[in-house]
Amino acid sequence: MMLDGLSFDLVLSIALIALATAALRARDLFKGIVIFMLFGLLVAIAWVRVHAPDLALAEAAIGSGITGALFLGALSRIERKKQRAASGRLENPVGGSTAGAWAVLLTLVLTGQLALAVWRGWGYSDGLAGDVLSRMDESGVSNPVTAVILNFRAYDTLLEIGVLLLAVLGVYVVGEGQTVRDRRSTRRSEVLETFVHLLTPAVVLTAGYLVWVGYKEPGGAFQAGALLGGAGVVLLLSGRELPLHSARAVVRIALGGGLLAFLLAGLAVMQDRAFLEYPRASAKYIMLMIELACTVSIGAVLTILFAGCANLLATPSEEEGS
Amino acid sequence: MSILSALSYLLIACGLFFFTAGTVGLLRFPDVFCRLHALTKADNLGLGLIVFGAMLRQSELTVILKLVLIWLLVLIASATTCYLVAESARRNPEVKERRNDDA
Repeated sequence: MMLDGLSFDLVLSIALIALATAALRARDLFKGIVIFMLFGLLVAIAWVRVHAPDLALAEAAIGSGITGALFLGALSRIERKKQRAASGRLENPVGGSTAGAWAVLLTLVLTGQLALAVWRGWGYSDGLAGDVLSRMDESGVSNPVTAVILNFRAYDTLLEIGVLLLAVLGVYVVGEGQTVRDRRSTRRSEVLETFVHLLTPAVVLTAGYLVWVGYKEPGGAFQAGALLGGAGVVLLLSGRELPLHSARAVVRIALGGGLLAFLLAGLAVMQDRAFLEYPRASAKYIMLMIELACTVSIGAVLTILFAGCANLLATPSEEEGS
Repeated sequence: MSILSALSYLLIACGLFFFTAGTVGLLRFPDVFCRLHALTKADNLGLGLIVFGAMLRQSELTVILKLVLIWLLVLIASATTCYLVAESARRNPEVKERRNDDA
């Protein structure tokens, strides 16, 4: 059994390196992106192999799915600009150039650093796993990953949500008010419509399940939010006009809700304890509330990032109105 | 080895055969439509057989239902993407002619 696992890991490692090389070396950028998405899926399997299903879920949804969609959106936008400039297909700027050589060098240096760190810490450090597991009963949840992310290092997560909000503001500043793609050119397809009808409720349900199950099993706001973001991308691709204009109240509430809930929860407990130090009895419910708000925010952020990439931010009717 | 276990191995092996055939088809078939045909066999029948094989190895009903759900979702998604790819290839002939060996 041990040997089976080993040979599987070996094949997985070789496939990962091969796909990473292929993604960088593909002359066609589209092909490079598709290989990158495959690479993300295999990385997710690798996370499962090292018993980190939370990371596997996040990698599959964000690293492979949403990032791939962002790349494809950006590519279609660049290609449209190129077409206007009347030149041929885009070439991968990394493959086979000096930039590629620098990338390899940088990766080797980083790998060396990592290997050195592992070598030095070998044998006398389990990281913080022991500390976390010994204080799990203070966290209010039974999934150690959720305990760390939402409680023990909630401050980090709070800032991460803030970073996502800043990223979206950047997209709005750059992307809004640009010429909108002519929607008549995107044909509506009945098959895709039916698919979206079936899929969207299922995705929302699954996202809710992931948030709820996060307190005891793998899951949580980032995974659930990525699912919602994926649903948003599919809705946009099916030609639907989502109300994404930054002036809309619903957009502002959805985007800022996660950060706001986090800050309010952090401040609310400050009467007799430190910022973000939840009382043990209500910790689970405080974390659940924060996670629900963050799920909506992350879903909205990812949808808007994609809309910004693919030039779908402003809808024509709003353009006329403003 | 029980009959159930042997049957599950047989089903998973059959499923893997369809995946292998689908992959060979993807690599060797001449155009988009033939490749789609090969791929959807892997998605539908191949995954179905593997899911069925995996179900026989489970005792919890919830896990079995989750496996069925995964198969159904993949069925719907793969049928839709197959249609979209085929439709796009029909509209844009240059996509249809794009060969495997241009990288």
